[in-house]
Amino acid sequence: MFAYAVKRLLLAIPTLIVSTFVIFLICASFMNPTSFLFGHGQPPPPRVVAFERHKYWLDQALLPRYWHWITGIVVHGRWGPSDQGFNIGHEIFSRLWVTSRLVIAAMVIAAVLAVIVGVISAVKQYSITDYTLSFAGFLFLSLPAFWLAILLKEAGIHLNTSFGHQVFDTIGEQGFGSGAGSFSDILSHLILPTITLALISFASWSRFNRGSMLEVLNSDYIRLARAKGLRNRTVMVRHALRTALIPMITVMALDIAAIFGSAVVTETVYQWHGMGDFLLTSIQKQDQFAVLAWLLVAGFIVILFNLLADLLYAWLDPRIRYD
Amino acid sequence: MLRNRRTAGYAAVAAISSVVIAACGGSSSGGSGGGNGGSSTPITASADSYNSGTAQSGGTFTYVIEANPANWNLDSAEGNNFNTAEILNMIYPGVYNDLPDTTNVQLNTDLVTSATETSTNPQTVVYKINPKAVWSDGVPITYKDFQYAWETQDTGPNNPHGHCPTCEIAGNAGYDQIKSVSGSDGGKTVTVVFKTPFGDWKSLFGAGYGLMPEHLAAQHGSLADSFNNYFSKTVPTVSGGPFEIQSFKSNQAVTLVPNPKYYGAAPKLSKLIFRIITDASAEPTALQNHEVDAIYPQPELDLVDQIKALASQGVKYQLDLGLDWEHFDFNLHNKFLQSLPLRQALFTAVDRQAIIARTVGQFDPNVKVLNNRFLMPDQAGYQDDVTSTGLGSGDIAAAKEILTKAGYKGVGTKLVAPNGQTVPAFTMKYTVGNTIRQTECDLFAQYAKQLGVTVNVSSTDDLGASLTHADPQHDYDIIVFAWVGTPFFASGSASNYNTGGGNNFGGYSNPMVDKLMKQAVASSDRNVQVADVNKVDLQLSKDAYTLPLYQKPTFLAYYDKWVNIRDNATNQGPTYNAYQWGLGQSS
Repeated sequence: MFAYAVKRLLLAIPTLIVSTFVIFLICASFMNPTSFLFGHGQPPPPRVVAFERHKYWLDQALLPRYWHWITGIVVHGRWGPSDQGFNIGHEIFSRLWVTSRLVIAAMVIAAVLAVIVGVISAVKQYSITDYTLSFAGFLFLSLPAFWLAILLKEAGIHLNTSFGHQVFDTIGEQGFGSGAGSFSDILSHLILPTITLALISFASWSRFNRGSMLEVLNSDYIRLARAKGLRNRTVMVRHALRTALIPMITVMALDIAAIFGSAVVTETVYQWHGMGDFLLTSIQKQDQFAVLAWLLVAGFIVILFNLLADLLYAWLDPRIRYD
Repeated sequence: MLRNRRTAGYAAVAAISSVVIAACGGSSSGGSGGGNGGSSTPITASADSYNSGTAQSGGTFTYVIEANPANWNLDSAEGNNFNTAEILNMIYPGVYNDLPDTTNVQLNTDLVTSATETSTNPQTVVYKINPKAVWSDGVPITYKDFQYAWETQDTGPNNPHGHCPTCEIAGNAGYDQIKSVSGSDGGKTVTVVFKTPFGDWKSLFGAGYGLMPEHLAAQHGSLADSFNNYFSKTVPTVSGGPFEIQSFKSNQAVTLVPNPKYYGAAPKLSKLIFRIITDASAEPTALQNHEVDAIYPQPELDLVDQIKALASQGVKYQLDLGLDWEHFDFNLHNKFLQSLPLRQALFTAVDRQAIIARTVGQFDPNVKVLNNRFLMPDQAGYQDDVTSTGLGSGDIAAAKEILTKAGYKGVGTKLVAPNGQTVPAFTMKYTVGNTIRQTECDLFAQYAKQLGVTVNVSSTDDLGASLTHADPQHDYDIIVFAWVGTPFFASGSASNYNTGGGNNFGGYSNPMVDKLMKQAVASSDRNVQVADVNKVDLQLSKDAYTLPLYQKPTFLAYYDKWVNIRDNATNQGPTYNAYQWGLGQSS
């Protein structure tokens, strides 16, 4: 297992390096942080242009610029210049912490729900329960994230009114009044966005898990397990579910990119200031190195989760590590 | 003042004015349920006492602003932003404050015990500073703070070689006419002597543009260094107002707490939070959910309806017609837009009535086409300076005729200038998230298309930067935003149209306008000012540089348990008296 893990890790490193070059190439090709100098009037003095180009390293060739950027991050912890008045490294990790709360909570809830619903649907195939859960799954799958978020905001407000006190907050990731930053304050801001994000992911995962469970339940070794007289619970949990979860984990790991994408929309509706807000603002301001930082962090997370998926895959199915 | 409001965000610059006549019609600001069935109402003197009450001490009030304060220097061109002003009203003290009646200003007797014009030849004004007045770090407020305001802003048409030619100021009306600012009585008496008469002297050293601490400026380099860098880029650490800034979380909130060194009556609130919400559609839900206590969005149909529905939950609102006005501007730095016939044709093609019907007219039938850039319809001296020029009429045939007569080819298809160059596509900007402005721009593009001109509409999330020095070559060809007025209609608007004026973003220049504005600003006779600005207004219409659209309704909504919060449709906004806000005694 250790050798397998090391092998996968070593494979992830070149993937990350190539991805850094690709994203740098894309950003360098399509973003120009000095574009604001060239509007529709007279061109600015050459001195101003030269100063701005130097500021954003545009007076260097592409490859040296890439090298300057990547070594700056790895060796010095410098993420490049930004015109938004912040240190990119500090800012993005601060934002990542905000978004991570949302994404991790949503993934955990979505995964638990998806497994439960997938198993029930599979076991009760073609029953009213199965049809009902399938309908709910397709419904959430088809709902745009922004619309679901708005609906949930309304629901949250009505529930607050019913309860007579504020359980759900609809703006931001935390409050600023009394109790700001406390666990209950953060939780009250977290619930609605988490549900929004979780329901969207849960929908596709539950369908996938249902299919996976059905395939396993119809396999010969499950019939053998039952024929041996194993208890139904043992058959379902130890033999069927564990096997069915293997492809599910792959899907979840691959979906991390999609979840980050949905988080951008969710954060916008709930006015969170996480990675999504960081990306949108940076694109609007043509802040090349801030966009690069976002892409790098997002790419790192995707690769990391793929690596985790591979390791979990091997742990769940020992045959894989010997391939 | 540039008004860069949340979803909407307008931008405006110290501008307009108003000296409302006592007989102006209409009721006072609408209260719960809105005045006049939800339609906006002109403002009268009773606006100054609307929602008055005895406030309890303590409590936290959360007020929504719609843009992150990216620059903390209100006197600078880039920082001259309405949202920032709403915060700094409580930080930097001014000699006078604009009242909600939009007509009068009120002496800030906490800061000064008197402000008197002691001589007219030469014009001399003496300010007696409250002996107890100190900054929050204990340093006394003295004539040096007045002197700093003057020296940083005295370079202008009347004084091209001022103390700080490189200070990036928003406007300088009046400051460039000052000869000297001196101190006596230990610095607590300020004597200001003018080189030439300045009628609106009460607009200086305050009225929304408070004094900044000179002793901090002195620690941060030259005048230009402190003005352009330190005060612009630093969250104020020292306050001379009722509150001081406790914390600033970028894009999220600015938290104010009472200034313990304040020399006037202590504020009622124990905490005043400015919550930054950039999506106006999120504001009514935040209010409904008690996450905020007051919102001041640009009114839109759905938003107004949502707030009306909250009346049973104790939400009051005011929908007023104040000193804000929406307008289209051309950027004359674009050589094609330097052509007068092209500008005239484009503005003639614009149907302002249709624009109103598709935007603010949907929720407010009282909004009418505005035909003056200095005075509002309810103000004495208002006259129609636009209709006779044909601008804003939506007369496409007339617009085409203007172009044809001027020698343009391809009218209605692909416009070609008389010199044979194809007229390029123009970029038109509006504030991101402002659906009303987006519609206005889309309609403009449709009108232009009928003349054979392509207009590409896009948004900006930083109106100040788009208009000013952060984008020195300008990022727009045509733009829509709003000016927010002050009671000083002549001096407040001078820098919008004077050659080289700090708020003259489009590069307009007309010697006759410069001369008339100079006359108007110098006069203390309102009739003279009105006559002069109306001549300027007519010339602006003839030059087709800017097109007024309508007097903008302002919309304030809040819970009725709070007292003393009220609309102030001037450049200071509702927070002009935030130190008086508090829970009513019966709450």
